[in-house]
Order: sequence, then structure tokens, then C-alpha cells
Amino acid sequence: MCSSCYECTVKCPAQIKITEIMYALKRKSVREGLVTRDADVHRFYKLFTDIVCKYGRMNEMMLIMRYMMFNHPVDLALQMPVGMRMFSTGTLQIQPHKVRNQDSFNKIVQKALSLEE
Amino acid sequence: MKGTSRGYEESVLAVFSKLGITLEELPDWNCCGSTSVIAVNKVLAMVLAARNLALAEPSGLQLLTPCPSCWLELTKANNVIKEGGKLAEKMKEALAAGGLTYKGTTTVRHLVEFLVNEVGVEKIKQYVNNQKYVGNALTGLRIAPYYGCQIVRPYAELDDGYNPQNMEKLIEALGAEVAQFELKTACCSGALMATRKNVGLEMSKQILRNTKEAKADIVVSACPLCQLNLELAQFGNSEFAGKNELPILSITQMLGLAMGIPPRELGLPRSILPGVGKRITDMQKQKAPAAIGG
Repeated sequence: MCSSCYECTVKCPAQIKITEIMYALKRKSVREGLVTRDADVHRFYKLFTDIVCKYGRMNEMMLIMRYMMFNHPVDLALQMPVGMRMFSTGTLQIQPHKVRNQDSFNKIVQKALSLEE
Repeated sequence: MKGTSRGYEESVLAVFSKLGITLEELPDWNCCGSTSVIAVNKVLAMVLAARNLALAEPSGLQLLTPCPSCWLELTKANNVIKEGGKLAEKMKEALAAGGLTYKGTTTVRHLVEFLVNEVGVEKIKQYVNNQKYVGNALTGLRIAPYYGCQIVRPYAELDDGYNPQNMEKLIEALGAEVAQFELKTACCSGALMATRKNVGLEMSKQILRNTKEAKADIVVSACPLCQLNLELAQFGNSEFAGKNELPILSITQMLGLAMGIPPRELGLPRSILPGVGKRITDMQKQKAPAAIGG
């Protein structure tokens, strides 16, 4: 439920980096599978990460479709009017944008993943 | 900025072109990871940001970003590299695997503070006052400055962390009135609008309601996701229908209008809310007939 607004970090009188702790907890819960079927925000973060690792850039349509199509079909259907509006204004890209130096980018991503603590 | 925030990008390019400042899009930039990748992989998140810093370094140019989340992640990565340590070493190792090096000399700027500190309020005033075409003047309109969270927290480098003023300076330079409201640094909910929609809608709606209490005609946003969320909270919602709708503009869309750039060139038709350009023109006709020359 943390939106990373950093309000807690700034307010904490002991200057504890609470938001960074929240990120660490999120990473831990993803790694150790400490998630429930209903609370599937971790899927969003994972999908986001997978898309960026593959293309180097985000594709919102891919993210939303993969996140909601099978797991939240009703919510997805309710978003149709917004989706149509975004299509009509050219703000929903179907073809993913990619980084050009894919080879170099992939090596960087693989190395970073291998160095994860 | 190529997808949902395409309108914002169009307005940045249009305004900077008019100001005579050359922007060079960072070649082969990648997504910084924002608040999502760091929730999955810390090293990867820092490396994604650092790749952009490394790509920018050889040019010696400052790296300007219109997005607070990008500014934050890039600044975090920069700080890690400068402080050194285990994470910094891992980041350098990962970059080296792709043939990149980063010495730590790239400066990261955010659009709002760049406009105030580098371009300057006086220069912007000149462009607005020299306008022969006043059809898009913002005089008489009340504009609410919405900063959002990551531009002032956790680092208060760009502005005061509790009561930032950069956007107010720009609004006043354009001849409009500031509609001051308490929640100007409250969070719009960020990614929660997608993952916890009921929570996201409430967080964004309370910001909109607060700007209405301040009698705002328009809300200007420093963040592309905030702009999107504040629009989504209104889309199809009867509470914000018709006269109660609040156009949400990005900082350069607001600047561009005051500088006489047509709404279309500023990406206004790309808003989730239909007819934003026309709504603003109607407001101008209502509130500032003198400025329009009516």
C-alpha cells in the first residue's frame, strides 16, 4: 500500500529511511513469496520490471493487459472507456518502444541481476 | 513521455524551442525504473538509472528530466556512485558488462527548478509580456500549483521541502493568480491508481477537492503521473463533470499557453479529459475579457 511518497522518511524524528525499508520489505515479500492471492501488487512490480528488462522502456498497454486481463477482468472491462480515449489520443502505444543497443543493455541487465544481494 | 505523457513531451519541446534552448534527447535512454523496479531488485533499479547517467556523461551536458520520479532515481543513483561502497561497485560492474563507464560527473536537473533557476522568471516574463497574440493569456485565471511528493521528498534540493515556491513563481510570472492549497505536496497515489484503484481515486480526489476549495480554475502539475492520475480521478466522474471539471496542465503546457503557443502544439488534445483546450479558452473569455481585447 506504500506509494513511496516519502512523507514518513521526512517526518521521522530519528531520521530512519522508512521508505527504503518499505522497498526492502517489498523485495523480500516478492523473493520469499509472502503474498496473498488478493494482494497482488507484487505482480504489478514484477511485470513492470520484466517489461523494462526486455525492452528498456515501458509499454503501458502491455503492463495493464498482463496485470489485469486474467486476474482482474471486470476491472479491466471497466477501464475500457479510458483505454478507448487513450487510443484515440495516440497516448496508448501498441508497439513497444525499445532501446537500440539491445546487446549492451541485455548484458548490463543480466549482470545487475546476478549481483543482486 | 512517448506514451501516456506524450502531450507533456510535445509541450516541453514547443516551449524550449520558443525560449531558444536546444534540447538533445538522451540517445538510447532507458526507463529509470521509477518506484516499481526498486520494489523487486535494488541493484537493477540503481543500474537502470546509472545507465542514463553514464550515457549522458561524455557530452558534458546537464541531464534535464521533466519527471520527479526519474529525477529522484537518477539523483539517488548519482549519490550512491559518489559515496562509493559495495552497491556503487556493483553498479559499475554491471555497466562495464555492457561496455559503459560512469565517473560520477553528470548533473541531474528537474524541469521546474531549471525553468526558475536557469532560464529565470524575468526571461519568461519577457516572453509573456511581448505577446502580441493574447488569446491564450492566463491573466484573471486562478491556477493551483500541485507539486506532488517526489519533487520535494526525500531530497529538498530543488525547493523548500515543506512549502515549495518554484511553481508559484512561474504562475505569477505568467500573470495568473496562485490558488494556494494545503495539499500541494500530498501524494496523488502514484502506481496505486492501477493496483489499488479505490485508494488511488480517493487520494487524487481529495487533492482535487482541496484545489476547488481554493477556487482554482486550473491545476498545474510538476509530474506526468500526477497529471494522469488527477485526470483519471475526474474521467467519467459526475463530481467533476461539466463546470466542475478541472483542467490539469503540465508546467510547460501552462507556460506555452501564456507564451501564445497554440493548444494543439502543446499536446492539450492528448489529455484524458476531452476538450481541455476549449475549456480553457472559454474560461479566458469569461474571466479576462480585457486581456483578450474583447
